[in-house]
Amino acid sequence: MVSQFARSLSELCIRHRGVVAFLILISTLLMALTLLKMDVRTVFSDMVPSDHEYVDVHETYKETFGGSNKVSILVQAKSGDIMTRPILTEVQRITRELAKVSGVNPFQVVSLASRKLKSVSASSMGIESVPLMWPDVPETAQGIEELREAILNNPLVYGIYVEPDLSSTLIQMDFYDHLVDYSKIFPQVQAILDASPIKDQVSHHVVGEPILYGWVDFFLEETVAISLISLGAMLLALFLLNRTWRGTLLPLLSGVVSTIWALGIGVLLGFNFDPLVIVVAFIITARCFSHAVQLITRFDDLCDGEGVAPRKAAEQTMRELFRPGLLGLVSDAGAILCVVLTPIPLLQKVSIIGAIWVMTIGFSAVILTPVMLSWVKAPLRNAHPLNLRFLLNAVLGLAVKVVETRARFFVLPLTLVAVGLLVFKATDLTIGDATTGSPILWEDSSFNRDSALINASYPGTEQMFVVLEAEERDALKRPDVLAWMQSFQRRMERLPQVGGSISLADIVVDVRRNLYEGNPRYRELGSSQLENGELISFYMQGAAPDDLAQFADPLFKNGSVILFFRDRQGETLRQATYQIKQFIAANPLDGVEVRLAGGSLGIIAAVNEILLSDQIEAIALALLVVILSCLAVYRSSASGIFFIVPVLISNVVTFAFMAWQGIGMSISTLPVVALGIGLGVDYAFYIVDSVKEYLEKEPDADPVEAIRQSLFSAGRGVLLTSVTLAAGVLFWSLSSLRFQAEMGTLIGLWLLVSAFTSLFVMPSLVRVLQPKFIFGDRPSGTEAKHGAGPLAQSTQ
Amino acid sequence: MVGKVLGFAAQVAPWAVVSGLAYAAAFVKPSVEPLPLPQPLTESRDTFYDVSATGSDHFWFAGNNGVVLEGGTDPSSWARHSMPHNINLQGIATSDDGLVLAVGNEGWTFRREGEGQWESTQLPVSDIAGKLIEVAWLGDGFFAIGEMGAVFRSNAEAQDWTNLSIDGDVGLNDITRDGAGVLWITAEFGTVYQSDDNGKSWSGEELGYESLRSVEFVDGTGVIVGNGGVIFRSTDGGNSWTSVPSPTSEHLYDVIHDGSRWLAGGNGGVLLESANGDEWNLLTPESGTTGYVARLLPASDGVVVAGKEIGQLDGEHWNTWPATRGEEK
Repeated sequence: MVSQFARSLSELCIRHRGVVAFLILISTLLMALTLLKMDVRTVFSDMVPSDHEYVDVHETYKETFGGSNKVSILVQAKSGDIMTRPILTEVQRITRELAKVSGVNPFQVVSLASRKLKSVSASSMGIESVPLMWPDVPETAQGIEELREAILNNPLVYGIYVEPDLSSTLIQMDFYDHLVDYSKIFPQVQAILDASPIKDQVSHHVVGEPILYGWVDFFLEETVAISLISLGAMLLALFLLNRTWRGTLLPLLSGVVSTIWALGIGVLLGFNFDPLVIVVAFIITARCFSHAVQLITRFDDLCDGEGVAPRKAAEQTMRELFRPGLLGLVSDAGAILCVVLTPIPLLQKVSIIGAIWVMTIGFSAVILTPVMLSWVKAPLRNAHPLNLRFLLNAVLGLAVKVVETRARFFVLPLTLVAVGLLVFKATDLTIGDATTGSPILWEDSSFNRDSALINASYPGTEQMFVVLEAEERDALKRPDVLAWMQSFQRRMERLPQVGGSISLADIVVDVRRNLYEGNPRYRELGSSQLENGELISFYMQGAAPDDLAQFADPLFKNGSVILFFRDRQGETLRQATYQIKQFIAANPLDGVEVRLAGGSLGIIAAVNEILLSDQIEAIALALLVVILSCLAVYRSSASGIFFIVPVLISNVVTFAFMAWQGIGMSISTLPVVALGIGLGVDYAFYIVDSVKEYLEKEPDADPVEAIRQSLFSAGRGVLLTSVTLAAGVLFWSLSSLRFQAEMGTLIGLWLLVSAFTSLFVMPSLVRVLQPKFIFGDRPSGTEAKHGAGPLAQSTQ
Repeated sequence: MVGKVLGFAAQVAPWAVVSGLAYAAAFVKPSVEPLPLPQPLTESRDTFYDVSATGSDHFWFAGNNGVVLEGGTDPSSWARHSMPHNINLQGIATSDDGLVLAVGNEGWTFRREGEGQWESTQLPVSDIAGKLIEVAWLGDGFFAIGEMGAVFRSNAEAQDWTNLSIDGDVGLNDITRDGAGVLWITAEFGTVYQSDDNGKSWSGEELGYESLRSVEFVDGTGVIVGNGGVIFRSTDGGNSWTSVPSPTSEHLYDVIHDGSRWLAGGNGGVLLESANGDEWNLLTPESGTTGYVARLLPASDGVVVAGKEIGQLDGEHWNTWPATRGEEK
């Protein structure tokens, strides 16, 4: 049925080639117009899982207990401490300017110069609470000295917002999540810091999600440049190896058409494009190139080897390669579409647009390329004299040699041993970030250096909060509830990665200390709910209404304990959530439910928790798609296990490589892995189907001959595209974005492993196992009758 | 036969692979090797309020959350003790026989003889304010003082307690005995109490309005320090007290004489020194203490400090303790 459809379609397309080409090109032009509205930016909400308990907690309390877009700015004195009027004035200037940044919550800009940080002083006459350095910076040395003493005596400021040796101070800001635009925040904050009038006296260091993604946006131009260089390199390689303009320009044409269609449809669907997933676009373009190159290679074989006229050759090419091409595209699209089940909007968008993109290849490569080939006038003319095909032939000759000799019997056991060892290594793969800094940027990047500096001097830049939800109002004032907070904080602070924590209990004990003339012996909770309520009332005297919002709601029914982390590694978060759950289970609170976890780390912990199961689920479903596709096309479920082999090998190799290189499995790597499954199987489809096609045409042919012609035809296309694309992705290693560089390497590795599995493993499996879906009901001794000398010997 | 089996296996294998992965997707979760998180020797939230010594090189620190730390210059000697009642400990003292007694909130006392277990006793204090703020070994027994005028005296074994409390809502902060055997107590609201009958009766004198935190006598010279950095000095055995200029307005929590000089410490880690208790200077140790200084204890190699941090002040050199981790007992 597929063959009949392929025949009809190829005849139709070539007969009406002008119309087909015109329709595709005019559609492409129209789609190109929509790209003017393309929105390239990272949207944080896209990365938030939609149905996870941590996310529910975060979404419910993010406006009060802390959002996921905090920015921390460290102002560090280059010599001495910050207690000088110029530096304090600089802190004030930055604080005031930050309130103007796009999307900022002006009530959440906290620094020495904000109203939030107060000096609580006590004497035998009572307590008073006044902002530390608001609205004015002290003008005299005595004023600065008093400020210094006020800082030293305030445990909620000293060590939290001011480094213990007073050499630096922290300014923190938070944003309204729905107003966050990373592309605006980053340049605005940088401009504020660049405008510093005392750069000779202070250095600025800035971290936070908006800054991180601001850096990604900052490198967008570089990313595009690398993409173009990479593309150019691939085209050059194609030109050198193919020696024809059609072999170079038609893959480019296919890629451009597909890209425009897919992005255009994305714009029409209202999707934004995250610069981080540009590698996904690259992989799909690689698929497009691969299909086009297969078609061109077959076309060249027909024209060159069999002397078929270009128009006829184009039609035959389309007909012959329609089945593996369709199979590859359906598998690719199916594999990436499986990611849509992951409840993360970014991945769902990538999945939908990826599947659409892959399917457009059906038009841009499978149809358009043969149509364009049909106009070739001089198929045998080379565009340049340099012939590098001997390199390809040498590799392909080796592949044939493996199949022809007894080496083929060693292929399966050797592969099994290698895969076994790699599976062992792959078990070290980290779920979540595997590095202390952001894995998106290089370790020595400005962002990661700033992050390390701040985490070394302060409790931690990354935050997670747990929520206490009580049944009754004022429950948070209960001594047992506050004592639970203290005990919980002590427990969690034993974790090496937890730099500190803060809660309402810390406020209460500090107020009580101040109420007792600042005596540290009274830095303890009140003995009753009433007393704690009074202590909180003391704190609120003269305070802004939202001063306690970070710790409790106005009814004191729901409260938070905020934990500061020094890194966001997957292991850190798993350990933390495990310890939190253990503590909650071991220390139940009457009438209070403790829920985890909000804040940026709560979200990441949620993502990490679903990543592994979703990754396995995506692989399982992708394999199911492969099996169903094989079942539909070859009418054999056994063919499924055959094509799963290259997928499993490339998956295992890639996971082992990730474990070896310390690349964690993250929200960004998941679509790459899902698409890699398509990469793994495509090459095998072309090679195995070519064998089958040959044997269908020549039922009495020698299987080795069928494999040989397959390797030198489809195999050449596989080798050509994999080497070309792998060479292209090498340029990604130059990226300032570590993620892009690592994913480039990953894709290159995937391409090569898939190709070499298809060239060296699959042919041997075909010959050794002689699957029925390829060989039909041929008697097992068939090849001996037709085989050459070495073949006859090897099979006896 | 073999061919049929292999053929069947080939037909089933793809579904088995997918089923296996589906099972893994449903049930395999990222595992975590839980850290045991044993009780560390010290925690960042630990604060200490008093220190005492057994021998010349072994010290006992009492702090919040029912914690007593013991140790000295030998890093391996450190250990953490958690009291059976999780209350804040305020004072600690050691007898000449090495008995250790810690006191704290709600009238709780904890005694330990040698390597024995901690034994707790709750003294009859006020339900409203029952903090025992200080305990001292004064030659023949322990004196524990605290809020609401609480004064208790025990025998040398810290087992039989006598209530010698002062009437009135006043917090008592420090107790000492001068060379003449007179007991002195510094208290809230600028009051200093004295008793020349071993605590049976007390007479008070107000030296201003700032709470007085600590008193010390050496050879007839007495020094009292208190809130707002106030310092009083007596050169006539406590008959009269004179305010002396203070270089700080920080609250001062303790005053001692280390054999060669007077030392006082207080809020913000402030440390003062004086040769004769009359003229005081700020002391700025290298990498000094932070937070506050609650108690000072003369030792053979300097002065041991209890506060937000614990450690030893050797001349002007500050060593934070403990240098290494010990164990919980």
